[in-house]
Parts: sequence; structure tokens; C-alpha cells
Amino acid sequence: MAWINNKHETLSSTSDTMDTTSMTASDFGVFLNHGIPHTSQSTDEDIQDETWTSNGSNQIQAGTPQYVETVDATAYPETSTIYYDIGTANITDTWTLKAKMVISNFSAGGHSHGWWWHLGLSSNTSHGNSSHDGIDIVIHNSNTYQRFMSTASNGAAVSWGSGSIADSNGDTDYLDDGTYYLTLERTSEANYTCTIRTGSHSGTVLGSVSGTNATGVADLRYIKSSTHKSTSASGGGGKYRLYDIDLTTSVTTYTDEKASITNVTSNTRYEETDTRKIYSFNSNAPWTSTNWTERGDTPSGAFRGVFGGGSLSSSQVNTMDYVTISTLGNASDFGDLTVTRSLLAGVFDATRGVFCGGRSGSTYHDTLDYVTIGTTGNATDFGNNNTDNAYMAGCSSDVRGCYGGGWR
Amino acid sequence: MGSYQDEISYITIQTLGNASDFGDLITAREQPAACSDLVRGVFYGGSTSADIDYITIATTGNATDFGYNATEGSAKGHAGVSNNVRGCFTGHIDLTGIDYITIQTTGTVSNFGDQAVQHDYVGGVQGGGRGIFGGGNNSSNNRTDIIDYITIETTGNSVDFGDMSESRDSLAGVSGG
Repeated sequence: MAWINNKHETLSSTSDTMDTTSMTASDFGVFLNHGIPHTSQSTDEDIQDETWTSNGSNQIQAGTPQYVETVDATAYPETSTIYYDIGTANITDTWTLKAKMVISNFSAGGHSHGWWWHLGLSSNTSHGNSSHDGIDIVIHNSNTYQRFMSTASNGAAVSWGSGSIADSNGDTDYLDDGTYYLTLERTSEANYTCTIRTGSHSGTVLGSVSGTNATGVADLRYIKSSTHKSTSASGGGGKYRLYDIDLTTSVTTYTDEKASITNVTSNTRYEETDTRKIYSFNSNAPWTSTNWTERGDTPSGAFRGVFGGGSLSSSQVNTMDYVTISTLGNASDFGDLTVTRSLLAGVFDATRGVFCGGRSGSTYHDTLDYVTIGTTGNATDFGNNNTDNAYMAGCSSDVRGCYGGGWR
Repeated sequence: MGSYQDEISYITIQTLGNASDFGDLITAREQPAACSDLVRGVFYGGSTSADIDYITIATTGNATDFGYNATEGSAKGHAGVSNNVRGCFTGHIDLTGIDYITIQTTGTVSNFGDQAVQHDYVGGVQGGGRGIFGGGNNSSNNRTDIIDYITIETTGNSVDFGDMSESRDSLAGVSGG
């Protein structure tokens, strides 16, 4: 987001430029750069329809619609693998692997030493217990333990995510036949989460398993399903059929917004809100690309905070009062909300604050009202929430305010 | 009889109008706290959940797991502030602790410090690297006019800022200038 006096425009990528053609020299004032990462995302959908490679008849790609299936997880241990070559060995940024899994013919193992089924991203095409870099969803089946789990492998070292996930039928150690929605997400270099749902990918969460030990796990080139077992394992079985296999990869880049701003005149001022550094455009040739010189730091705290609503001992209030954030002192009267209420949420951009929902007595409100933060006065109607709701919390970008949770 | 909600709604702040559906929190709950770095919004804890989940504000969709508030558990009544890098939360019912997260780094909640004087069910405002918490209930469960502040970049205890115009709790804060 860049601000030019009271005008603003969002720059969404490093190649984006600011349209300044309709502005005069007097418009060029302060640019604010939040110095934040920009994430570009791409999703490869229905990967089960692509060409997978199997090392035997236990792992197959078949059907209409097409699926990838482990025919019998215990019949062909140790060497059973099917994989899809993503084509790049450098998926080291964040990614999400999703699949719908139908389990049938499941039976518990007959020995305390069990077998494992894996689905995940891997650096090689060997079975899941071999040496590789990888992050996997795992099903463990023994005579006492049938659960979803997750694991990260960094070369020879294998570490498990915390916890495990069982089905929701109350027989907590048994994974029943049925349809499960699997999400395996790498949220940072170190962190990953496996979430199992029923109904859909936004359905009921059976549970999540998270790991914080994926640092160094790299070169994830293959989506791989495999099985292996302990030498003492016996009995048990299961057919695992995977549909709707999607892989979303995210690449984060850090945009220097001032490098993408063109058509600015000399002496245009630019402020980075994260570093508080000030730059000026010192080019003697206007309408060319960037040429910024650092001019020191912005003063801290040229901002105002407005508190709105609340409860006294037995009633709610419409009070708003404000503080100047950079200056210690008591709050001053700002004005009144349109509706008396407490337990409301607030969202805001650089100039406007919006108070959302809330409750007064037993009445819940769908009220949205706003203030111009730099100017005292009463709030004005903004619109309505989807429902009457209170006990929410809000967060904001420079453009959008989001609020969620609550009670009604 | 009411129920806990998982809905997330959104508005375009400079455009008057009704809210639109954004998606759902992972766990339905009341009284989470929230903050953002202008790209990612984080919903922190709540009355029935110690979950922390996040959204990408510019898109719509359901929230994603961020981590778990092992420090405070399923705390409620708190408020969140940020300096667009770090998010700080305090005002958990009956607790004085201040926690923080790095908004772009999932998984970890750390201790920031303690409130100068206990107050929960607070409102939070922010700016210029400073986070300010106002109002709430004190340790005797009476409404208070306390305002204290932290420097978000630097861990430590909060410091007295001043007083609210009246003692009240369960308020909200907005910030700008």
C-alpha cells in the first residue's frame, strides 16, 4: 500500500507500478511501505490424473474417476511405493498437500510390532522407511494402535510430530473404514501440520498432528505413497484409495515497494513503516525508475488509539475515548458510538476505525459503525454484520478488516 | 441458548456496506484476541480453545493452524496489538502475563513480560511500535481505568500510560492517525 497524501493504491507484486498519471506534483507526499512479504501461490490439482510410477501391483493408479491406491497395505511390505515426479527438487518454501482418502477392508494388526503407510513429499522414490528427506502423513497399524500420525525425515533421522489422530467413533484405538480428508501443510522450514477431517476439507476436524523439526528437510521432488512394516509384524490389512490429490506451493518474496514505484518527481518522500526509515527520490530525471536516498527515521508514534464501548458494573456504554500513542497521559473524550454496547471488535486502516457487533444486556448487535481516527466526533453507520454477534476479535490490513469467533 | 461461533466476516474499510463471509475459524470460540501484520491476521485463543489460527487477510477462506497457546491455555478477555512483525496479547482473565508471537512464523508462543497492574477484558490499540491496553477488570474483579503500554519490539513488563475517562471493561480499540 502506498499513500500519496490521502490517496492510496495497492501494489500487489514486484512488477506492479503506481499509476500516478492523474496526479499533480502537489499530490506527491508520503509513501508508506510496510516492507512485508508477498506470497504467490500456485496449485496443481487432481494430481491423481497425472502419470504415477509404481514398483509393483500393490500400488496402482486406476479407476474412473482416477485414483491412486494401496491395494493391501500389509501384503507387500518394504518395497511398496507409488510416486509422482513433481519435476522440481526445490520445494523448500511452504506447501500444502491435500487428498481425499477412502479406507476399506481395514483390520487391526496382529502383533505389537506394526506396519506403516505413508503419503507425503519426498526427496526420492524409495519406500517410506528408507533414508530420504520427506514430510509424511502416516498410518500406523499394530494390534494396539491404529492412528494417523506424521513424520519428518532429514536424511537418516526420522522424527515424529506430536500426538496422533484416531477416528471419531469412540473406539479410540481403531481406524474405521470410511472417507477421510487429509491435509499435510508445511508452514515454515521447521513446522508442518497434518490435519484429518471428515465430510470435506472444511469439515469436522478429527485432529491435527504438528511437528517443529523439519528444518533442513529439502529437495522434495516426489509425491509418494508407500508402505513398510516391522519384521515381527503380522496380520491386519487395509486398502487406501486416494482421490483429489492437490498440491499448493507458496513462494514468498519480499518486495521493496519503492523499487517498483515509477513516475515520481524529485524529492518525493517515502517512509517504510516497518523500519521507520525515510527516503527521498533524488533523481534529476523525473519519470524514470527508482533512485532513493535514505533521510533518517520517522518519529515514533504519530498515531492515535481510540477505545470504544464497554461495560460498567451494570450497564453498557457508547463512550469512545482516545489516547495519543506517542504521549503518555490520560484518555480524552472522542465521541459516542451509534449503539451502546460492549464485547465488540475493532478493525482499522490508517484513517478509519470500524467497531463491529457487540452486546448490550441480552441483545446482540449486527452494528458496524466507524470513526475517522484523526478527527474526534460521533461514530457513523457503516453497514451491518451478517448476524447479531458479540465476543469477536478483529484484525486488519490496509484495505480489509476481518473479525471472527464470538457468541450469539 | 447461544453457541460459540467460528464465522469470520470481512469488510472493506474504506467502503461503507454490509459484511461478507470470509470463512471459518478452525475452532468455534468466543473472545479470541487478534492482531495482524497487514497481510496475515492471527486469532489467538478464546474461551473454549487454546488454538491459534491465521488467515491471509487479502484472500477469503478458512483459517489455518498457527499453533497452540500453551502458556495461557484457553484464555479469554485479552486483546492483541502488533508492530506488523510481532503480535502481543494480554488481558487473559485473571492473568497478568503478556505473550507474543512472530506473526509470519507459526508455532511458537513466547513470554513477553507481565502487566504493570493486572487487568483483564481490556481493549488494545497500537502505533509507532507501541502497544497500549486500556480498561478491564482488576484483580478484585472491579472495572478499572488503567492504561498501560509496551514497546512491542522489546520484551519486558508493561508501564503505566495514564487513565481511561471511565472505568469499564469489554471494550475494543482501533488505531490510526
